[in-house]
Amino acid sequence: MDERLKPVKYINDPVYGGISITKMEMEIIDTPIFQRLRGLRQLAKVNYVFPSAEHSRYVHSLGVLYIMGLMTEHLLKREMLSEDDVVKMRAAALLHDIGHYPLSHLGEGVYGYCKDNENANNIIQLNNETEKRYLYELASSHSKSAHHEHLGKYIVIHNNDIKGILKKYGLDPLEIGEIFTGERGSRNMVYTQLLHSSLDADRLDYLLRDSYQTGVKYGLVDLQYLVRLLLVVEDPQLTENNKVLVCNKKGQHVVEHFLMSRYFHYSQVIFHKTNAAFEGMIKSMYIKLVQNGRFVFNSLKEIHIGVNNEKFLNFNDSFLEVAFEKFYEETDDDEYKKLYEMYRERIRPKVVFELKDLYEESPTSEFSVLKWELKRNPDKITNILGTDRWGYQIVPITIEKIHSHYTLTEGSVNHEEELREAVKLYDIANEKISYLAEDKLSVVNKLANYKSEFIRIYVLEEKGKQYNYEKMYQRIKELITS
Amino acid sequence: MKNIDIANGVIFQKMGISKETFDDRLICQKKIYLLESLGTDLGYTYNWYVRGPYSPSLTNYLYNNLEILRANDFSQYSLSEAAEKNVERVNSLSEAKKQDMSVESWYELLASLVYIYNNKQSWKIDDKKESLFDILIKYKPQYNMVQCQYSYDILCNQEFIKAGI
Repeated sequence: MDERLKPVKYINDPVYGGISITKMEMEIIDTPIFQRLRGLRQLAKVNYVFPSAEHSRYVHSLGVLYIMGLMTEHLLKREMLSEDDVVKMRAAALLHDIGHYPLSHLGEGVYGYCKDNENANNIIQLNNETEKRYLYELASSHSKSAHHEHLGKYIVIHNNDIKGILKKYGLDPLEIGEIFTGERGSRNMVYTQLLHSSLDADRLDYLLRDSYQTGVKYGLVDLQYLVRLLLVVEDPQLTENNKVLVCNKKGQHVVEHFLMSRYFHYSQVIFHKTNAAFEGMIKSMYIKLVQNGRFVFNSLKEIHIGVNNEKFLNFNDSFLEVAFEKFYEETDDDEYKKLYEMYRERIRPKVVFELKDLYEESPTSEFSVLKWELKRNPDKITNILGTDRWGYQIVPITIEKIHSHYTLTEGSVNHEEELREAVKLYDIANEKISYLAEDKLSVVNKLANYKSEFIRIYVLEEKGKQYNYEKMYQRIKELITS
Repeated sequence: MKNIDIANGVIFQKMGISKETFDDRLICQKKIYLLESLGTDLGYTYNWYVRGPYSPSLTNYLYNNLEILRANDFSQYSLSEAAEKNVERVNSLSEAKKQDMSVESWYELLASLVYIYNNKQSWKIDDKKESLFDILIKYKPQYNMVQCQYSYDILCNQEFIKAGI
């Protein structure tokens, strides 16, 4: 047995009981930069709605390591992976969130928004640089240009502690980073699928853990059986390194159950309407803080420069709270002050309009019109609401990781990229690989072509001001039906 | 509309981006990759898939925004000098396409060569152009050495690949 795989410690975990840790992993866990993850809430402010959702990126990272351990141990026993593969995948699993931001994805959106503006200023000659950026723009921004996985890769390559440990154990920091960013793609589909697919270690842990921590019971997935279904086989459609991760077809119902559970988890927890409205409000505040240069790091560039500084350890939720308050005391920005007061007093934005759709071909005309107006003519919405203190959210949720506009009738030939994350099944008797979503007898097939989408518009109330929500609702309704 | 949407809108318009067919989306992916490799950063990150560099976030962006961007009039905006020049360099690559190749295969070959070149360390190849061609043909056997050499010369000439390998 590879020395690097010998467990040296067990860590108690409420979801799995115990997680075994190797020497290299223990060294990584003990680094200050990994310990920083204790200070990042996994679900940002979901705890405003589900009070016990207090778990951190730290415990999630350990959980992903546990599941990756189960998956790779099973494949190793079947001689479908080598010991070296297992060491690499365990390291990638443990480190996959090392680049997360304060308030997790919410923070990622903030730095992404700031980077987008910087990029845009380099690309176009803007005449309106001083133009006011409205709250609805800040609250509804959703950018991935400062993706936490890419920051994580940067850390793994440049942080002296992490890169030193990986190299000491014969691993290439660049390769580990590229595994968890998904950049390896089809160069090693098995690696990519174990951490970047519908059925990967990351998604399995967050469903189980978030469900446990929030008290929502969607996460009852048969994990042990699911792992036993995994196989590595050759895919004749790929040229070089044609091995892919598949699920034994006989257990597809367990996979279907997992995909359905995740769908409900997203719709009921992650995109809970109160949570989403709160997050929009906090995002506006957070962007203002960063754009005024008042947080630990105020651009992706500054973060990169700081990955070996002690200051980087302050890049967490607690320091963000302090920075929010300090900026409140010192700024003249009235809008920021109002936002902070709402935040401090937990005054939730009021959802004034909500529209849901579940469609196969195209959304209802009302849905399309509202989406169009929100993106193209936000002034109309401001006019209807009688205030520019509003935000919106457009959320598509799919059952399977197939792009929401892709239809299965298009067929899968030549669409490998667009189906890259979808679950693949393997029929052992016929030695045939297929997509779960293509199986006409599968419930996922029936639902995969349907897109579930919703739009919510919320207003950030001002103290002492009266709002006629019924009138707002009626006027938006008129706008989309006229 | 956010500034980055305006930047995307102007660039998509100048590059004739569309999303109707798989080939349209493939060409878009490769053109934007080539543009970003010149330093015009729209914020998309790329992975390697069967057809070469591919950005999932670009696909999402296209589906969610292209119709709205198309309906907008961006005539009041102009690109910075550097961005304008880079867009022209990517567009002009189509003029060098030979008849034995489709537009999508041409852009796939160009973007794949640049991607491997830009990630030499990850692909564990040395500085020789032969190593670059070997890797490309290993992963994309539909291309041959002559096509690789021809594309490589154009990429060097247009400074997509700066140092001669």
